[in-house]
Amino acid sequence: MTHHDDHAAEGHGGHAHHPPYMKIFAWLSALTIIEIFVPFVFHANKAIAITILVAIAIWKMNLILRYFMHLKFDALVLGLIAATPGLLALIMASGLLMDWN
Amino acid sequence: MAHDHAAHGGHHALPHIPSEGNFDFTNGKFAMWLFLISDAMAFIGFLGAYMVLRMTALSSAVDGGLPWQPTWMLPMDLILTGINTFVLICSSVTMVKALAAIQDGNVQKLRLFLAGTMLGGAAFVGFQVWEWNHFIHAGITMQGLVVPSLDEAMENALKVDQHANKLAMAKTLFGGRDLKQPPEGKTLADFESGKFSEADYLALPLIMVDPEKGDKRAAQPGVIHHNTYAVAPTKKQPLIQPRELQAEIEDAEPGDRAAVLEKHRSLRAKVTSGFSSTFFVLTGFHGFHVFIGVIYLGIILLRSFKGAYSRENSSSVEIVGLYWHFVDLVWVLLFMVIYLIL
Repeated sequence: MTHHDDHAAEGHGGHAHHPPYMKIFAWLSALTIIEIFVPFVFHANKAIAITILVAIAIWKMNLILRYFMHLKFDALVLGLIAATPGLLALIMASGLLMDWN
Repeated sequence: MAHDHAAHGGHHALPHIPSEGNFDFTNGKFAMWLFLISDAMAFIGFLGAYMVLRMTALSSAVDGGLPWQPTWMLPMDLILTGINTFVLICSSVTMVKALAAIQDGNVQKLRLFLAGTMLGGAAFVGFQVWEWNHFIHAGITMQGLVVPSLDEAMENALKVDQHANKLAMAKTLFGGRDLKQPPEGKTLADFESGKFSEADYLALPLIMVDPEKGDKRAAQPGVIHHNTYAVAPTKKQPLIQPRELQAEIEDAEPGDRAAVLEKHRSLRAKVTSGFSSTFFVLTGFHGFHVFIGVIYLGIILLRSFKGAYSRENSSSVEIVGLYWHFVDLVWVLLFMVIYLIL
């Protein structure tokens, strides 16, 4: 039995236990609404707006990866594979930001 | 779970190749993850290009070059795109619901949620087609931005100053404006963020563009410059190259230059733009993924009618789900970078 099977394992009445998808949906929707208002609210301070927007985006991506893409329930090796491009993106973004003066 | 084909009777199944080691996921799922990370690298490359162009646009604007999103450019509709983002999130939820349904052995619900996911994806692509069409009609294309003609620029300026003399404005609009000396109380950041009004712009000291000296300042409304490369606003308008117009103006006596401009007043120019190029490439590449995803989902839906999936055989649904959520994941980044961080 896999980890994935564990999280979708059969419960009472022949139904599997699934992650709280609707709860994640509510979070994603709420975060999307908040991020749309960020540029308007923090129009005067772009640095704060960008910081909040990046934090929200990371939060949303985390929810999608862990629950919708099941990394929370899958083998660690899949999580490590998924993290690889993120790490490279971080290195690239850091390099580019260092060039920005 | 890990051996879909074998579990499904095997009459059309490929021989099962046991994976080495003790990894508890199917080969298909592993392959999809490998594909997704390579795809993610491509998106990261595009986003890197976007970042570089976006960051250099500010220093370019200091030299009188084209800002990232000039004030005369059609603004992006954040609310509509936000709704479209919500549609994509909804489609992600229907996708996980489809997987949950088949894991519960409910094929009817699987079909229903797959169809819902396809509908969401199609709606998303449909909106993007509308948005592209809207932009292209407003002069924002992959090749660059259409700079408003002298007439249009003057019209915009006249909205601010009703008493402005058109001919005088025609003279002053020829040439760039020196952004290094913004009016009192304004900063370059205001120009970048669109808080720079047309009147603010006109109040800037005038700088003449000299293509012979490789002057890069230009591309403001009404300015014709050697950087522009295509001029053909209507079929009736004879095609004229900006260089030719530049030469024609420079050859004319100073007193006649306004008349030369007057002759070409309805002429528009097209300038290269990092924003428009990266916007179309990024949204286009992503939109193509969504389009492919809708087809992929359609294939899974069709196969579900042939009894391909069951409680014990749901791996293919999970794999298409991974692809679909990846598309959603990428959009989270693109939406933030392109639409929210202007």
